[in-house]
Amino acid sequence: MKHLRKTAIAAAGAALLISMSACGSDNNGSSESASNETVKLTYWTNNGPGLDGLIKQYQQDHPNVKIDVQVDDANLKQNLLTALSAGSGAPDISILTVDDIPQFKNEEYFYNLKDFGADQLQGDYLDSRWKQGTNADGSFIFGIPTDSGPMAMMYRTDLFEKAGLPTDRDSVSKLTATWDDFYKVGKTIKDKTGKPLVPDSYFGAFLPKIQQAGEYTIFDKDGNLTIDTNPAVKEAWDYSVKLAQEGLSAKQPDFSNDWKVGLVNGDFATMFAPPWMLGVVKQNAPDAAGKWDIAMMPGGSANWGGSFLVIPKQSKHAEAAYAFMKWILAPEQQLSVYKTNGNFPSTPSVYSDEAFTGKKDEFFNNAPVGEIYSKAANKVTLMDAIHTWSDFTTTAQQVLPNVENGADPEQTWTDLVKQIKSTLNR
Amino acid sequence: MSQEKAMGARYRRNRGDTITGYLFTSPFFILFAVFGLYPLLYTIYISLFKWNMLGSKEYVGLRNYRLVLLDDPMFWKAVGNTFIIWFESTPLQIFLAVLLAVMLNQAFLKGKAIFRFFIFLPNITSLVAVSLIFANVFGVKYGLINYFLTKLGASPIDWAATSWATQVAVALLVIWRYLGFHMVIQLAGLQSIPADLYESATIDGASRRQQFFRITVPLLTPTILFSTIIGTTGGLQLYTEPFAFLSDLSGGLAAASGGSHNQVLTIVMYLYKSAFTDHSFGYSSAIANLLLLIIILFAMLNSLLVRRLRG
Repeated sequence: MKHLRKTAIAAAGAALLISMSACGSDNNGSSESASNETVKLTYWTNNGPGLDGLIKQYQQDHPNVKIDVQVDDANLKQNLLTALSAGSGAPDISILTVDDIPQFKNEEYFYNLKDFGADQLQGDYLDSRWKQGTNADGSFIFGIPTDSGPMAMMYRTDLFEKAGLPTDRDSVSKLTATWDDFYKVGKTIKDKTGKPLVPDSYFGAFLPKIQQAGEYTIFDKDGNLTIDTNPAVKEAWDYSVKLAQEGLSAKQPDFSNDWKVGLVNGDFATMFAPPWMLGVVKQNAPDAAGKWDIAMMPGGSANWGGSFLVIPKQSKHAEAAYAFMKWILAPEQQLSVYKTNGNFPSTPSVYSDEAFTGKKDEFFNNAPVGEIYSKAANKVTLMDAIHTWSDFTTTAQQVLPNVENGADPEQTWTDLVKQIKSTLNR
Repeated sequence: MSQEKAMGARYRRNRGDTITGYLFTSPFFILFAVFGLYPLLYTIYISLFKWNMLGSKEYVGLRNYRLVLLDDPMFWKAVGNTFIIWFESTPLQIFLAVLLAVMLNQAFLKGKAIFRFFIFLPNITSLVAVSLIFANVFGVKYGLINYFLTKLGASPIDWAATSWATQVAVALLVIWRYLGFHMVIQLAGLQSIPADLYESATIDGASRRQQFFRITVPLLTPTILFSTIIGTTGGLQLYTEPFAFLSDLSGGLAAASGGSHNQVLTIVMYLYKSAFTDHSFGYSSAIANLLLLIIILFAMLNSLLVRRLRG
């Protein structure tokens, strides 16, 4: 009898263990939902897109839909990669940033949103953003764009004034219309005030110049690396080197602690910023209020940031997921997020709304940010979203400081190209 | 006597109890198989492929190992960095830990608990906060240290771009963060030394110095060895500290590469970068296996050392 009880306890323990190890896969196999059945959608997101309020509203309007929001700012990409390659554990909807999406463009793992009629939505979105979410010929739609990051130029009015330059937005925009003009302005400011032009030569020159260089810059259409054959890439490098060598870079890269202080102290005269960056600046450098204004950036604009919502093939509720996505990313909803959170819409039809035309930002000398960024958004050119080029830009970001500190730029460039080539070969 | 024997026989015969025994030890084996053995074997398997995690695997044999060992200066740089930072942090850290532990073990010291608490505090402080503070201390333009250096007329140090400086900064962060942990271990080691040894030594007329070198140090050796092992395995797997510190110091994605000269790129950081920045999972797995070999090598060295010390 006693023996029997012992075995029973042990068996119960083993059962517990087995159930523990099995709990990773409790995806209930319920197929497509009937209209009155409750559907639970798992939604992976970062803290970026500011959709929380709308998600609540959607659930109120659709009592049969429950949205399980799982926020992860650090490891979402890695977790999604793992879930996809493992074949289970992926959410019904996931966010993917502009930088990450090229790597995920494998038709095996996602629903083609075209099958749900997403191609009809294309006209609502900025062309430069929409195409980042599709395959090369647009026949496979991976994701629908969330907000956008068209860049404009923040500039220090005090430094411009001290250098004897105009300080009003329109004149500054004209003064820095091209990259050559921008360089000249930098020289003037350096001569007159001793202050550098940009926070660092990567964010202040290399990245935006690469982004403006056109769709197939780092790779050609077929995916061959072209950094050493495409003159535009070397041109961006040489320009960044020029800024670095002539002391026009403050060596205080975006997001570093020195950068945060530099924003307040005016250690650099300009900084390229998408709309979301304005919030970052306000949060990290509240004392910089009133010291910066905003104009157009050299060469038009470029997109920095923004994401897509995608539906992994593993989802059992793709139709419900698509219905939710379509609604929450529609122009009307993007406008409402702009009003509440300041995320800049990817849907140009709303740019004429009063929320844009009338929007001024007190922190930035009452700059009409709505107007400036709508104008910038229409100037963004499409960048390659098929090939994973972020390895290259990340490595350039890593080695440019060496040039700023006196390393030989040609040698650094040669090493950079060599490193990228061998990395791609692995 | 005979009764015991009989009981032993009964237990031997009882198969049910044997099963129970296995069931009771099974949690470890199940968990180890799932979270230890399977990943280990799978990593070896993956290291033979070229794979970006999505899409198909391409079998390449030992190519990844050949590339890592013969054609990748960054890997050797990472190995070098790992050992430099380990060498700059672990010995000093353990020396300081012993010193502090001996001081805190003195009978005359008042408020020991408070000292212990403050020395241990960094160990339980969030790394996010720690690295932010350190990035402020070592800031290139607005850092505390450079501020004092300029005040004293010295030239400021570029902690972000000078290789040795970044390494020293990371080593100091590691020392500061884990000193308390090692100190507590040494303190426990000290307190396990019987007090009568010191008493009889005092009666025999041994000086405090003699007591320290003849009693404390020899009897503390196993504890110091333990600390060294922990410090070494931790040092070989260093990842979060340099990464978080650099993110705050120089911002952005450059942190993943361990600084502009890869100066604090450790083996584990490089492993992670290969997998999640460069998307080469086979290659990354090969690095992981090489790290395993290095750690095995150290474990063997260590057990050799222990055996020799014991006698």
